[in-house]
Parts: sequence; structure tokens; C-alpha cells
Amino acid sequence: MPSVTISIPAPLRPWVDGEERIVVEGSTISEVFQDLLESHRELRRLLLDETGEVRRHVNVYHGREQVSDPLRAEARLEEDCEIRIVPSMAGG
Amino acid sequence: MTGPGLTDSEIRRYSRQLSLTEVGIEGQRRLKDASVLLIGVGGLGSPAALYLAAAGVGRLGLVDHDAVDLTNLHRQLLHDTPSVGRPKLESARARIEALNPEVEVVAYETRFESSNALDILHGWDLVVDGSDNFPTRYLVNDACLLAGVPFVYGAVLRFEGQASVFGVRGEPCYRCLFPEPPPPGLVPNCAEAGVLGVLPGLVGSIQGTEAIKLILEEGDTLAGRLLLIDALRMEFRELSIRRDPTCPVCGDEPSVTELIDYELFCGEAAADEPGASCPEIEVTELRRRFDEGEAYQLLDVREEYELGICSLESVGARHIPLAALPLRLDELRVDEPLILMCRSGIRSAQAVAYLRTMGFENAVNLAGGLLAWAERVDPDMPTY
Repeated sequence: MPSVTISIPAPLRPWVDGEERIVVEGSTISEVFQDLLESHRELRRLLLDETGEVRRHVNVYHGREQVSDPLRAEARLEEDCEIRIVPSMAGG
Repeated sequence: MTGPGLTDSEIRRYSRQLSLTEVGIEGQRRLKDASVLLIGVGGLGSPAALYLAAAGVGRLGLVDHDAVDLTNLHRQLLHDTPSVGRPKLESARARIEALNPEVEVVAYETRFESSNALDILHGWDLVVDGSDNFPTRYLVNDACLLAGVPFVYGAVLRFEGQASVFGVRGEPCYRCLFPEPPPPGLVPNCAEAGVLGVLPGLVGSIQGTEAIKLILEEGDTLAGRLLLIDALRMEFRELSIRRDPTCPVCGDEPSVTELIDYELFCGEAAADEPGASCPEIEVTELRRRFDEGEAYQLLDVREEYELGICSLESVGARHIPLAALPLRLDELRVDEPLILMCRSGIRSAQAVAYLRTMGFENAVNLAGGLLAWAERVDPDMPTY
């Protein structure tokens, strides 16, 4: 099972003990995303809505490409690839 | 008059950029003929306005209804200490006119809202979005798309920023990237989470750069791309943004054909959330419970550095910062009222929502936090 780094944006860090990057395991985007939600259950409320879908102010990126449905994306991941969570922010 | 449409003084003032082949006399005339509307003259609007004025953009519109606050000055460089308490538009106009008297400044001292957005936008070539809240972000997007005006997006929080260009024909819009706002309170603002003062300087300067490129029609703009800035690591990442054919504003069959109530739009997301109506108590109720000796746990979830400014230790507050809460649940009792507090009640509302999912059905929020306490219970308490 390859290990994959997920970059955690500033608004979510208070809920993962300040971690900027979390290493999870999985062969596909959906596997690593599920692994993140299992290993850091407090993120579920922040990333998923009441129906269990990814909130619509949250984007997940694989490299520089937007992942349209991270809970079901079956594209296989390469070793050391980076998954990035990008939520909206409004500060000005 | 020396060059076509430029005075001798202008030729001299802009000489360092006139020598760029991408600018030249023709580009400088374009800048002089251009008009840019800045929504907000705060952290992002300050550097954007200064650089656009310095570059010779002929007409700058400024929309803002706030007064200068002391807490603005670490990042909002259009304003200075003597302008505290004065309208931001006053100090912004004075600073811009002092920098470059050739620039015409048009001030709109009003909140940018659905009822006036399209009127304000009329006649402007380009918008720089320096707003600081989600309702205005969605309003800027929808209004600019309806009016056919491109806009340069920027946003900041803590050490991180985002920038892009939206509203360019055929390219994705803000809603393609973020179809819906977060439920209120889920994403903190700069007052709650803080922001490095120089960060909006960085992001606002990028917005200014993009605005100039759009006017000159030179280079590759950020349309279709999202730039992420991490100032702490000093990393810049560029991500692609896909146009969403189902987007309600720029999609193939748009359903948003006029401006809506954006406060409601951003509040509606919360109304759909179970438990989003966070149970809370008023500050006067906390005072009463303290005076009458009732049992409760009062938990301050702010950061360590904030405790030195003010606290409710005198009425029993204990400190567990928000970040540490998941690790210290064993310090909380489920059999006694648990009141969460922070500066304004936003972070503590997050804490309440979290604690309730962890079985603490006794958790309630102190409405308005320390700001409400200072206003209604203890006017002598310093605020920030």
C-alpha cells in the first residue's frame, strides 16, 4: 500500500493538532481520503456534509488537478504523490 | 505633450515601465484609459490600489463603508495612525492622490450589495475583489459575470493566500471552484484566525499584477488557474480550475440570471446543517449563573497569546485552545453545563459543534464571546 501525503490547509489544522501534512495509505484517491477521515475523525464534520458527501466549499486536488468526487475516485496513485485539500477562504 | 496621449511628466513618471516592450507608450495609454473598481480597501485592496495608481491606471473606484481601526494598520497600508476612526475612503483617497495625482479616484462609501452592485459596476473595465466575507465574494462573482466584467480574486488567512482571475469569457468562475459557501463559522475569518500582515501585501500585489496584465492583454493571467501561497513555507503552488458546465452562473444553462440575497445564500448553507443552530447562552445569563453560584464549566478555546489581552478567569474560565480540544476531552465532564467561549463566539461555536458530536450534549456557546461580555457586562475589559 503506497503512502501518500495529504496537505492540510490552515483552516483545518486546529483539528489535526496543527499538522500541515498527514501521511496516509491507499492505492486510490478514495482510499486515501477515506483513510484520512478514519484516522482523523474530527475532520468528517468539517469535510463532509450531513449526507456524507464532500462539502461544496472544499476541493480535493491530486497534483494540480481537481478531483471531482474524492469519495469515489478510483484513479490509482503514484508513490509520493501529493493530495491537497483546498477549502474556500474569504479573508481580505 | 510628448508621446501620443501622454504628458512629459507622465513619460518621466512611468519611464521605468515604458521601457518594457510589453508596456511601451501604447500600453501606458491603455493603463491611462483603463478603470478598475476595488471592492474593499483593506488588506488586499491597499497594495492593489497603490500599485495600480502608481502604474498609471487612469480611474480607480473604491467601495468600502468601514472606518479605519487600529487593528487594520498592520496590513492595510493605505491607512495610517492619524486616520484611525475616520472613513477608510478618506485615507485611501488621500494616499492614492498623494502617490499619483494623475489618477481619478471615485469613492463609493457604501456596502457593496445586491441592490447597488450592478449600478456601481457600470462603466468599470475590471474589478479587484478585496472583500472579507463570503456573501460579498459570491455577490462579486455573480455581479461581475452578469455585467461581463472580469475580476481578480484574492483571499488570505493566517499565512496562506489564494489568487485567481474569474469572469473571463469561456473560463471558470468562482462558483465553478467553490459552488457553495461553507456553513457560517466553519471557516474562520482573519479576526478569529489571524493573518500575517505582509501576506495580503503579497496577494494584493499579485492581484494588481493580474489587473495590469488584463489591461495590457499581455502574458498569461490566472484565469483557469488557482495560485496558492504559503508564506510560512514560502511555497507557491498553481492548480488548475475546471469550468463547471452545470455552474448556475456561467454554466451551459445558468439559473442565476439576476442577483440574489447573498446573506441568505450563505446562511442557507447553515440552515441545512443539523445542529447548525448552535445552542448558546447570553453573557448576562453567564453573569447571573456566576453571581448565584450555579455549577458550570467555562472553557476558553482561544490561543495562548490572547489570554494576556483579556479573559474570563474571574468567572471561572479554564483554557484549552481549540487545537488541543480533541486531545483533552477527558478533562471535561458530561454531567455539568459546559459553556464554550472565545473572542467573538465563532471558534467556540465550532468547539460546541465538535463536542456535541463527541457526546457532550451539555455544550453551549457563549453568544458573542468576550466582545459581548465587554459590551454588556464589563465595559472596562480591553478588547481586540
